[in-house]
Amino acid sequence: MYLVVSIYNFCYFLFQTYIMTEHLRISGMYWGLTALDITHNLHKIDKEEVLSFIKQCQHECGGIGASILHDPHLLHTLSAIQILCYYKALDTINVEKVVEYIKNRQKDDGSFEGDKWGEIDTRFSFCAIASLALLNRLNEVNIEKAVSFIKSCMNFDGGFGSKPGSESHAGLIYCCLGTLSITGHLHIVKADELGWWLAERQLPSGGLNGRPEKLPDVCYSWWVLASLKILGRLNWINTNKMINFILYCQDAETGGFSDRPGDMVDPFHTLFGLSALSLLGYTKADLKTINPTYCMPQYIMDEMNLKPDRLDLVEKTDHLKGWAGIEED
Amino acid sequence: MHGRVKVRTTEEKERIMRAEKQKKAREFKDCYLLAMKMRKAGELDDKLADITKKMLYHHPDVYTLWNVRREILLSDRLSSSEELLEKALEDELALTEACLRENPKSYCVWHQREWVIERIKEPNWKKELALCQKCLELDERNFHCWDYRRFVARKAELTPTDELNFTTNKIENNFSNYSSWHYRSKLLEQLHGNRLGDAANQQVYNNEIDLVMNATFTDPSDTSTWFYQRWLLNYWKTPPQLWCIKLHKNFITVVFHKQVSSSSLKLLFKDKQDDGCQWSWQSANGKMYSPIWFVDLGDLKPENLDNFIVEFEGKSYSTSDEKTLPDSRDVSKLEEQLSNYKELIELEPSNKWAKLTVAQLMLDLDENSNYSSIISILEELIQVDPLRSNYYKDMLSKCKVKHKLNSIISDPYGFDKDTAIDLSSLDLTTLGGCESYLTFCSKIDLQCNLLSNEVLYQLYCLQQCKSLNLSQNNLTSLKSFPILHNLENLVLYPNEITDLEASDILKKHATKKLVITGHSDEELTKNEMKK
Repeated sequence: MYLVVSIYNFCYFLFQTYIMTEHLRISGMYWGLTALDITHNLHKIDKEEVLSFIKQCQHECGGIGASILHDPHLLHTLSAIQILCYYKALDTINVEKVVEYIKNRQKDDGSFEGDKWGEIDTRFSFCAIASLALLNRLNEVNIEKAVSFIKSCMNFDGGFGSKPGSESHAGLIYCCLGTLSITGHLHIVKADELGWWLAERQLPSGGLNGRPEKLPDVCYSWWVLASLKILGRLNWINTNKMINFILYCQDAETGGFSDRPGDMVDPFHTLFGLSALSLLGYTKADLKTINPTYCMPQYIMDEMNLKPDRLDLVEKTDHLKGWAGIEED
Repeated sequence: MHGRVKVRTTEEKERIMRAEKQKKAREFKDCYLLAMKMRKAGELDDKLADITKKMLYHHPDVYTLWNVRREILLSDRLSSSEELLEKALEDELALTEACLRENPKSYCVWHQREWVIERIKEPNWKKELALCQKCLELDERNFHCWDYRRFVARKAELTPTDELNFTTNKIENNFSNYSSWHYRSKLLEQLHGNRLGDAANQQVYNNEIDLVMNATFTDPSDTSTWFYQRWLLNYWKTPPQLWCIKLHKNFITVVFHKQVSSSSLKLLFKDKQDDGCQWSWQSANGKMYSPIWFVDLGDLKPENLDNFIVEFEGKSYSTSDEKTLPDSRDVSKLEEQLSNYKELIELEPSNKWAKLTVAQLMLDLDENSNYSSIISILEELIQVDPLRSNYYKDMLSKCKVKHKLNSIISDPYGFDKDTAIDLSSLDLTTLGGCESYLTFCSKIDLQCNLLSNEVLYQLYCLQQCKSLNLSQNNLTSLKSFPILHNLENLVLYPNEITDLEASDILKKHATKKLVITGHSDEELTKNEMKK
């Protein structure tokens, strides 16, 4: 119950003068609203207020900014689209224009810039591909090139970094696997090597770090676990110890989660703590199932008929009928 | 709120702090609104530069403000005077440097610095390298700074060899520097492509192996080097790609040792002149990558296997091929490694990394003759490293399955489809990617293992299987049990499976003569559930 209060307070703040975090407001809204949805509390937020705010954040070029008077960026464009999917209200924004904006962000090598100022990062590849998939417009960009850019970011440990040459990092591994999951190219990944590297993120405390020799952090519970889930290797870490670590990071007073036990709570870590618990099948809290690729509730994915791939999914065998008959004579 | 400890304060203190915070926030908001108003009015002047500068110094992540500053730098006022522009760009470098001192992990600031320096006529790259050096001394794992260093090194045209020496220095200072090992792997790839394991690069390769061994023996508990070592040792493996080609009725089936895409898969007929591209390959798992691909030839069915060739990644395969020759590379280095790490196990009996390395080396050298040693090391690892026990269990399962299937794997054309494959009582948690070797088997016994719901999807390969025994596993749901078109007899019980789920399986296999057995009440299974 505490938890709900905490998220609710945060969402309340979203519409108040919460100035110092305004440059990440729409993403903040996505963290808060997703957390509310998987705890069955989305209805407590005024839908119209959310939609009208998002509408005001879309720019003439089609891109969406973090807040009113903040420039458009792919990070916030994805968050806005994710929220609109929760409310089945994609028509709140000008879809044609946002598609155009995302399309214009792709560079010749298949990478995506975050905005027109040219910063390249695999986070932006994920934002672009996930946004277009949610809008059912994946065909608008060059998927082959987008995948080959992701491939060029693969490292000796099987992981991925933010651009070619960059060190592996659990957050970016999640973004790259997410891109490959949506586009159906997961098999370019060295799953055993990467799975082992991800499993080695678990520390004796049960918590996960994002890179070797670093401290554990609740947000990595999500990046690492979602990645392992996509690779079909979620069982390679110790579930019980992981759950205990996440629960230690919940603040008894406010209900929110922090990066490590005893630190300040925030909606970012609250969402990723809850999502991780949902992914691990933690049954003591009534949490909705989360989709590992999009970090959105699974029921939304089902409603939208979106089926991002995982290495442990084989959807169809119908086409094998004729072939299977080869032993019949 | 990364790393911010929650502190308790008195109510009074909190009220004062809150009031102060609010005041600062209001001031910030006023400045922000003014800046946006000026920007909209096109007043890209010194005053706006000054306002944004003050705000960014304390709040470098407010990305829109950096955009405003870029607009100022690109404005007509500055671009009309080279002198003014150079001065403004230098000022911008100073601002980013000041910001980085406060917040060395701000994405926005690093990007601004890169953007600015690209616009300076004659950038001082030495100064940039020195800045990176300083920054990495403060935090040798700051990946923003490593990325910036790579950018600078490229611009300053430093050679990969220069940079390799840089990482050698870093590593010799501190073995536990994952970022340096990472960079090293990139530089070696730049220098040698992916042919580091080739005979021509033997010396380079051996030097790396020795460097790693030195590091792992100096501090066996540091994780960084072991990942680098795994990468190096993987260069020894040049696994064969294609396992077998089968012709049956009007289908040609190709099974690979790993998942591949069909993009470079071709079928060529010896008596026809074509490019082999007109056939449409289908994957068994319905995905773009699969270990099993087949082609429906329709009426063009060839008389025998000698009539066609399968080409994959430019290499030709036919069923009459001689078996792949064993690797002729010098394995003495690998054997030397094995004996050294066996020694390390003696010295550090609880070190999991050394154990895993020994198991890995044994797998690479001779999986079959080392079988029992590999199994016992992996069993020890389950005890030594309980956090990752399932990883080792999956690895064990894979070894056991491969060992059992050894004769099939090594001679796919020699085995008889009616051979019953016995994989029972092996404590298997997964088929570990070996399921494709079972593609042409008709009878498979998997009883008394530890298979769970999560690995049922692997059974999709068993499309020729008529009889499958899954009794006494850890199954509680059949949701991901695939349709197996030839399945006639499925032994499911005992498992924690409800009759309802079993009858769903029967329904899914509606057109077939499937019988589910093993239930205590056999009659119910056979008759009642069929309804």
